[in-house]
Amino acid sequence: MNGLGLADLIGILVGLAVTLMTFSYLIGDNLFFRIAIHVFVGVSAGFVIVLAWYSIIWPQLVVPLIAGDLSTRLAWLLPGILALLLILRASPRFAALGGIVVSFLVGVGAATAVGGAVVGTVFPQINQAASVLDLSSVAQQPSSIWTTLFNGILMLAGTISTLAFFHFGARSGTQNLPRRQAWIEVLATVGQVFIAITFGALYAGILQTTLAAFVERVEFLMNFIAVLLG
Amino acid sequence: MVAEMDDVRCPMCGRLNPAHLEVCQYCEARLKPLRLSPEEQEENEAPEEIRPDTGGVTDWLRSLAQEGEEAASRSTSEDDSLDWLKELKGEQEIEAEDFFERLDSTIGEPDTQDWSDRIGGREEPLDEERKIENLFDERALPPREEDETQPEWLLEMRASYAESPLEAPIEEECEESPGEPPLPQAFATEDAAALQSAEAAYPDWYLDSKEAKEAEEEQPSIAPEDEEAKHILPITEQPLPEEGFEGREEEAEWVLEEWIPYEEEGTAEPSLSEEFQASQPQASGAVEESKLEEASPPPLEEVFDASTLAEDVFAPGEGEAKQATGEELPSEPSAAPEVEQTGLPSIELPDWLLDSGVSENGLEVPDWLLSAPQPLDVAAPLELSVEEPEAVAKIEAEEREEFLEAGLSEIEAQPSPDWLEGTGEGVQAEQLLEKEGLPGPEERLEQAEIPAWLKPMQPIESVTKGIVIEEDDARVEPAGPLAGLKGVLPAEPEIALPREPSAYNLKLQVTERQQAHAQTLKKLIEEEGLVKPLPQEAFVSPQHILRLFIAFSLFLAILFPMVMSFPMVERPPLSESALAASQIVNRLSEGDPVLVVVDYQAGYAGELDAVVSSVFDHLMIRGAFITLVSTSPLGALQAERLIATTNRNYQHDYRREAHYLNLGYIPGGTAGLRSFAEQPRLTLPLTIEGTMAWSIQALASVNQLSDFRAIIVATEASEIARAWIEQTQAHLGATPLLFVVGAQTQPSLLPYAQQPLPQITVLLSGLSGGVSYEQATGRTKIYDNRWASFSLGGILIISLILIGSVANLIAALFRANTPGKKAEGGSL
Repeated sequence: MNGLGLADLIGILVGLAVTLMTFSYLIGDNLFFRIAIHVFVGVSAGFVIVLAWYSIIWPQLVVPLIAGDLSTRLAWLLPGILALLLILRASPRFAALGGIVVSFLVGVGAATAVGGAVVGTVFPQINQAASVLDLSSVAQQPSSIWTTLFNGILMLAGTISTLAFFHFGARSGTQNLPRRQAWIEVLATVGQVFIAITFGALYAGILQTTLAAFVERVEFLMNFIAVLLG
Repeated sequence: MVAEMDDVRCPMCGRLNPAHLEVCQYCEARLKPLRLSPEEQEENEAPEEIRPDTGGVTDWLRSLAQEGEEAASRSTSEDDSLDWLKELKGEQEIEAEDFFERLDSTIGEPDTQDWSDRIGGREEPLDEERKIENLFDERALPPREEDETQPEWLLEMRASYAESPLEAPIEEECEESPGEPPLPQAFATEDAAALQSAEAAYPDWYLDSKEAKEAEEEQPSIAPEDEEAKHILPITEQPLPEEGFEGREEEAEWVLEEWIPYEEEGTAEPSLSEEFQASQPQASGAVEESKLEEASPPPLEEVFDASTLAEDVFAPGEGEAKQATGEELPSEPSAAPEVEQTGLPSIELPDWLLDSGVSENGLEVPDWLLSAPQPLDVAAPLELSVEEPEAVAKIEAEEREEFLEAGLSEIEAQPSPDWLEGTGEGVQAEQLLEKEGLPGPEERLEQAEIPAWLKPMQPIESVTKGIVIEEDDARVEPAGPLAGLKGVLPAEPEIALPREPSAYNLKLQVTERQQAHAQTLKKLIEEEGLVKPLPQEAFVSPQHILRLFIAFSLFLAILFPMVMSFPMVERPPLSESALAASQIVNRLSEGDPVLVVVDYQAGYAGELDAVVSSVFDHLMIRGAFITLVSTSPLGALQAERLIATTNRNYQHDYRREAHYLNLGYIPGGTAGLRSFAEQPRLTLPLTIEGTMAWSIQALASVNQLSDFRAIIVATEASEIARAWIEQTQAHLGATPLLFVVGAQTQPSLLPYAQQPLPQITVLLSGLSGGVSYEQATGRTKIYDNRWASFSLGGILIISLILIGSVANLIAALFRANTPGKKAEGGSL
C-alpha cells in the first residue's frame, strides 16, 4: 500500500482507532474515550522513563561513574549522591534528606527564572513600550508617524486601563459599599474592554489550533480510507 | 533529750508546753494533775541537796530518772514509759494474787514515813494542819520540814493523791519489801485493791526507783530491831487502843468541821488522814463505842471512803508509835474495810454534810471523790466489830475474793491514763456504782455545763457548726473504699464538679446584610465539601443534539473540500514574518548548523507539524545541518517523527548524523536551558542514540549557542517560548531566532516580535503561517490539503458563534420583556 511497511500500517491502524475513540466523546463520556486518554497518558509516561534512562541517567551519570577516570568519577559522584537523596523523597522517613536536593533545585530554578524574566522580559518590554511614543524612534518606523503614534497611544491606553482594572483599592461609598474612585472606575472599564479583546484573540488562536488539529485528523482518516480503497 | 523532757505534752491538744506551766498555753487544759502520785510526792519531799543538777529537767522527773538508772537491773523498760500499760493487763492478775499472799504475811507492818508525808501534802500549811502535825508530834512522828520548800502545785497533787486509795503507802512495802514489818491485817483487803491499782498505775522503773529511795530515806524511821513492830498480830488479836482516842476523836471532829469549808470553797481538798484520825476510834469503836458515838460526828461510813481510811489507818508511825509506847493498835481492821467501803461516794450524806455543800439527794459527790478510784466492795458490814473474829474472818475471805475480782476489773480500768483513754476516775466510779446497783452519775448529777474555756476545744461542733447536711447530700457512695456509706463528703469541692456550662448570649451586632453574607459564605463552605451527584443526563437532550449538530457540521465543512479536491479558498498572501523567515533560511548554506527546538506535545502536532514541516523542507532544500533538541521529554520523539514526515512528504532523504543530529532532551527546565545556552557541549554531550554529539564534523565549530547559524523554536506553549527568549537572549549574538508557534501562542509572543528592537526575529504562527511560508518556498502541500478545510471550518465556527450570540441576545431580550422571567437570566 504505497510503500507502507507493516509497522507503518500498524501505526496507522492504531492511530485510526485512537482517533475514533476520541471522537466518540461526541455522544458523551464513554469507555472508549477513557481508554484513549489512558493509553495516551501511559504511553507518554513510559516514553519519558525510557528517554530519561537512555538519554540522561545512563549516559550522563552511570557511564561516567563506571567507565570514567578518577577525576570524572569524582566529578560525577556528588551529582549521583544528590540524585539518590532526591529519590529518598519517596520515603516519608528519609524525605528530609531529599529536601536538601529539592531546595537546591528550587533555589537554582527560581533564581534562573527570575533573573531571565527581569533581564529578558521586564526591562525590554518597558523599554519598548516607552519607545513607542519616542518621536525619533517613531520616525524610523516604516509605517506613517500617525499610525505608529496611534498604535503607541492605543497600546499605552490598553496597558494603563488594564492595570487600572486590576486595581482593587477602594473607599467606602454609599451604604458602606466599597467603591473605587471615579477616574479609576472609568479606566477599569476601558481596561475591561481590552481584556475582553485579548481573551477573544486567545480564544480565536485556540480555536484555530483545535480546528487545525481536527482538520489534520480528518485528513488522516481520508488518507487511510483512500489507501484502503486503493 | 533533755529538752524533750522539759516539755510537757498537753493531754488535750497534744502540743508541747514548757514544764513550768500548769495549764496548756494553747488550750488552757491543765497540764499537771491536781493530785500527785506518791512517787511524785516523794520526789518533791526529797531534800534538794540530793538532787543533782541535770539542767532544765523537772526535779522530780530528773530524780526519778536517776533512780530509775540505779534500778536498771530490775527495770527492763525504762525508756518506754508505756510498757507498763502493755504489760499491766497480763501482770495484774498475778500481782493481785501475790499481793494478797504477801499482804497476809505482812499485815501489821508499820507504814513508812512516806505515808505521813503524803498525808501532810497540802497547798498551804494551815492551822489545822499544824494541829495534825502536832498529833504526829505526839505520836513521835518526825515533822515534815520539806513541805514548805515544795511547790504549791506539788503539794496540791500530793494531797489529791493522798486521798486516793491508789496511794496506799503500803503498796511498795507489800510488793517489794515483804520482809518489812507487816501492816495491820485489818486493812489488808482494802489496801490490796488500792495497792493493786496503784501498782498497776505506775511503771516498773518508777516503782523500782521509788523503792530504792524509800529504802534509803525511810527505812531509818522504822526501828529495825523492833521485831514485834514488824510483825503485826491478826487483827482480831490486836488490842484496841485505849488512850488517845478521845483526843483523836476531838481532832477528828475538828478536822471534819474544818474539812467541809474546803469542799465548799473548792480549794485544796482536805486531808483525809486527818479525817480518819478523827474517825478511827469510832470505826474501831468496840471498846469505847459510846464515847466514839458522842465524839464522832456523823457516821464515818457515810463520809469517808475506804481508801481514805486505809491511808489514815496506815499512817506511818502511828502503829509504830503505839507499839513504842506500849499501846495496842486499834482493833479495827475488821471494821476498816467496812469503813472504807462506806467511804465510797457519799450515797447518803448526813445533814451536816449536806449543809456543807452536798446536794440533798445525796447523789452528788464531790469531784475529788468521784474522780478517785473507788473501793470495790461496799457492802457495809459496819455492824461487825472486833469481837466477832469469825465473822471478820469470813468477811475477809469474801472480801478477798471480791477484791480479786474487783481488783482485776479496777486494774483493767486503772492503767490507762485519762489523757490516753479518756476514761477518768469518774468512769471507775461509775463502774463501781453500777456494781453496787446505784444510779450512774448521769442520773445522779445534773447536766454539767461545759466551761467556757472548754467550748472552743470541741472539735466536732466547731467543724460541723453551720454545716447542714441535707438529705439529698446523704447519698450512698457508689465506689471506692467508702462504698455503701452515706453522707460521704465529696472528694472534690462542688465547684470542681463537672457541670453543664452556662449559656451566654453572644449575639453580634450585625446588620441583615452582613448576616446574609455570612450565611452565603457558610453555605459555600458547606457545599464545598459535599459531593454533588452528577445529574443524570438523558441520552437525547438538546445539548446532545446541539453538540452532534455542530460536530457533524464541522466535519462536513472540513470533509467537503477534501472530497471535492479543488481549492475553494484563495491562497493567503505572503506575510512579512514568513518572508523574513524564508530569507533567514535562504541565507543558510549547506552544512550550516541550525538548531531546531521541537518543544510541543503530540496534541498540537496537527497544527505545528504542517508549519514546521514547511520550514524543515526549506532547511533541507538549503542543506543545513539540523541539530534537534527539546526541553520536553516528548519533544525529541516529535523531532524524529517530524524529520521522517518531512522526508516522506517533501521527498527528502535526511539521515541521522549525516544531515541532522538529535541531542535529545535538556533536563532541568529553565536551569538546564540556561546551561545549554551557556555550554551546549557540556550540557548535552551525547545524542539521543548515545553517541558523542559534538564529534560530528558539522558541529565541530559549534562551541556556544551563537555559533549556530539560526535557531528555530517550535512550541505551542508561551511559557516555553518565553523561557527560550529570556535564557538565550544574552547568548544569541547575531544568530536569528525564529519562533514557529501555534495560533493560540501567537498573542503572547507578539510583544516580543512587534517592536522596534524585536527579541524574536521571526514569528510564524498557526496553519496560516505555514501556508504563507510555503509561498516563500513555492510549496502548496498545506494549501492543497488543509487550507480549504481549515477555512471552511473556521467560517462555520464563526457562523455558529454568531448564530449562538444572536440567539442568546434574542432570548435575553425576550426575557427582558417578560416580567416574570427577569430575575432568572441565563442563556441557551
